[in-house]
Amino acid sequence: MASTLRRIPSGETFVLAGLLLYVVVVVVIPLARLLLEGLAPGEEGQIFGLARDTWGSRSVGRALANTVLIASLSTCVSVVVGVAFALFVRLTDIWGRKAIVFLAMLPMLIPPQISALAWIELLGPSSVILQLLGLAPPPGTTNPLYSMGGIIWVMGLEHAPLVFLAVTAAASGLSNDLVEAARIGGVGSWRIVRSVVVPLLLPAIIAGGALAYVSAIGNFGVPALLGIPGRVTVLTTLIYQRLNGFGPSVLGEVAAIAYLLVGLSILGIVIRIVFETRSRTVQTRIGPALRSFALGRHRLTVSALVWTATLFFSILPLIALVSRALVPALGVKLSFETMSLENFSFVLFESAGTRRAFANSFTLAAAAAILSALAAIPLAYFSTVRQLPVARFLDAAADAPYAVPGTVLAVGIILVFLPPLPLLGFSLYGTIWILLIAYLARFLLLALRPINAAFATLETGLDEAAAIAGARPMRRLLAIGAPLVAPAAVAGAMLIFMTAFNELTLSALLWSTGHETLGIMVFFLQYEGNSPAAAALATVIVAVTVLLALLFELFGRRYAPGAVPWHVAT
Amino acid sequence: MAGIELGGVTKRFDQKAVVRDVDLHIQDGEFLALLGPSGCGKTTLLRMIAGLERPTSGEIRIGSDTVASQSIFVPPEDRKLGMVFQSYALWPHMTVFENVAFALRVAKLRGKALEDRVTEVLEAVGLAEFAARKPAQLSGGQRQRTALARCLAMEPRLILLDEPLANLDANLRGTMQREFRRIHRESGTTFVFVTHDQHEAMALSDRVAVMHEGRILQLGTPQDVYGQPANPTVARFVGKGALLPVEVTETLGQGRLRALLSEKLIELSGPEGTGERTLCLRPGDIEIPPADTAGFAATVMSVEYRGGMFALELAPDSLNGTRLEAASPVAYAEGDRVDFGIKSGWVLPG
Repeated sequence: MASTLRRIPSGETFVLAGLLLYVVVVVVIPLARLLLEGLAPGEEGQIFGLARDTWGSRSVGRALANTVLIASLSTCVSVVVGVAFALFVRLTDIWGRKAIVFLAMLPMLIPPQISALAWIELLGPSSVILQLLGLAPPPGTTNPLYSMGGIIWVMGLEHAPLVFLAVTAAASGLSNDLVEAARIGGVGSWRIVRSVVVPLLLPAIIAGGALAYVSAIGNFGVPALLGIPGRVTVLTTLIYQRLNGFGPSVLGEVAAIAYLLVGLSILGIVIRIVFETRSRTVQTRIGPALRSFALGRHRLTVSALVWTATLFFSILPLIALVSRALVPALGVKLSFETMSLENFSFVLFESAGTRRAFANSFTLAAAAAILSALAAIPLAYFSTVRQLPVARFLDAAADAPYAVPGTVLAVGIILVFLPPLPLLGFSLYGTIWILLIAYLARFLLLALRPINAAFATLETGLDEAAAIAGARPMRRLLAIGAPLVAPAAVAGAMLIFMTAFNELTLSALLWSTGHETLGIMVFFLQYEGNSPAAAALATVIVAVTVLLALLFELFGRRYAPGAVPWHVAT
Repeated sequence: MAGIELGGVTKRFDQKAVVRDVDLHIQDGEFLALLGPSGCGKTTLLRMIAGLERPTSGEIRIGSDTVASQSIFVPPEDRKLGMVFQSYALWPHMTVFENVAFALRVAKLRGKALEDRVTEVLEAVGLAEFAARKPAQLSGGQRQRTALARCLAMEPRLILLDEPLANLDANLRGTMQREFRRIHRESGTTFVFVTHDQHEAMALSDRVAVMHEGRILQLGTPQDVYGQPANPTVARFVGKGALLPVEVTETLGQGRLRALLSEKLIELSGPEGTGERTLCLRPGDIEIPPADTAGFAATVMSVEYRGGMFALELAPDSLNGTRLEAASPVAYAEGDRVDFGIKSGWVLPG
């Protein structure tokens, strides 16, 4: 390029170099290393032998088949539930739609391992609610959720909000004129929904379904809690079990399994991108928004049905969770006399492990949120406003660790950071730093997206005017760009904090003694058989998460509209 | 203060040439308007002078500095110029004072000197009492003045204005035009002004460069460009001239020509040369009724009262369906028959 003679300001170069280091070290190298590791020759030196041997093994074959089956069927559950809720909320005049939207989004806010735990408590033999109804399975029977069907069900509900969001977003892009045109043509309401509205929403339904499928492929929390006791192995839990059982010696093999996860996800990602683009072309609304159809005399019945479903999907599991947390010990029946807060006091004050986990998760989540947001501001500026090719590459690269399953990223990070660091001579594996690195890689995108969007909506003249005024790029970023995108950065940081605070997938592979996270702690307490303590800890986490979500909602609505991912127009 | 020299400046976006091989010399202290329809490349040309776009080829010099060439590109922050954007591009999180002070702070001016300079500039544009307001609390005209103050603060050698009046209503536009002229006169700085509005260009500038499809078609004083257009495109764009084929029969000297229009001899002006040429007629060239007997018959197609006079659209019987616009102090009705004369007219070169 001919700009070689142009004096590149040192501040800009310095920051750009720092960002390059960040993204290359935590994102590019781990993912590239993973790619290479799986390509290693086999024991007799055959090309890609390792991958071929691994893929040929029976356990991997079974896990692959399970993963595909579970992901496909749970996607069906997500689509049916998500679409039904979206249509009822968006197209009918049922009562309490705002409240339904909030409750329908709850499963997305609650981390998968906690959803799984809540459903275990709801449907198991010791379920307080089922006991009340006299429907509880006899004591001693295996929980029906410890099965493939259980995984499909819980995962399907966990990802239904993704479909719900995609469909409601597309529906708010539809014009009411479409419906009125059909009405004037003498078409009945049901027929309009079936032959006008649903076909127009189809691309969004498929895109949302693809997203649910990708999430299901990479989900670890649900199969870990339901599949491990139920002996249903999927690829993510297979990687976890192999690494846990055999340690780093099986890294190559595990990398080859991770390949399968990447392959399955890419399929879903491509479908999603294709249909999201199609859905967007439908969403060029001219005229008034879609109005809801009056249900007339069925309004009461339909409202009651939808509310029952909402309570069953979103609230009952949480009640089961809380009631289990209030039981003083296993086997004790919950009543007003036996109810106690012992489990809460155990997880909050007595257990050194959970207290440490609180501290670790809080520190990690805060550090990841602040560092990612601080890095995302200049990166978004260089890529969106300055459009520097290097920054655009880094921006694109930051997508990858969020798009691939967390397990895949964790394997890549272990591969790179298990050996001692060059020059420094010590390894980060077994320290808390490896968790921070993983979070910085995984969640950077969550800050980058809203900040990029904020820069994109800023008028280009604002930066240009500052350049004319004589300010160099870094000065412009600090004085003009950063203050204007600060709300988006705060929103991104809050989202990262919420997500990282609950995180299980990465920490399951990267934790070490003394460096447990909250996600891991819930998982272990449940494993140890201390399910009342697990339920108590999970309850606290849910409370914190919902509180953070409300804070985020308040902040986002006011200062950074569009940054709230679960924002639904009703 | 500085003159600007553009040599062979071309800008392509994705192979599409937006500015083609432009040569232009802007004099020190001049007020130059770049006039053309939207998409003619005038804004891109201005942005290249500012350093916000890099020319694909060609050279730009500001004063004695080469700021863009094949091997040199000086970024906007080092060009020491001022620019007023169409949208004003005021920084929404800063007060009027801070907007104006920003460039001075960048230039490391501090304390009392900074305050005095900002106050002085704000007084010059009549905004002294609005210093503490945010842009969102200002009217359109006040934003415009803030933008102007912001670029005057540094006493730049050159001020670029990109359609600065486009977002103002007609009344304010007149006020701001006078304001620009005054500030240009007082500061003595070179102004380059982009507009699609010919009245604005002619009212403000010393010289007008008419642009079309990436080229400068004519560069001259407003009178030149209006009265002596260099080609049919300029004639049509500036002052909406009617174009007619004409046979020049005789050169009379001193820019006067005699020509045959629909079998009548008329006297016109234009560069020398006889034969088939093109005549540009403006409303002011037509008189009703004709001063001598050699008039043309026409039908009045429409009448519009323009305050003090009537604008008539005439369909002459003999001129191949060409419509002419004429001004008349007397009212006519649609369908009336009139005679008109051609008292002057400009024959395009070539």
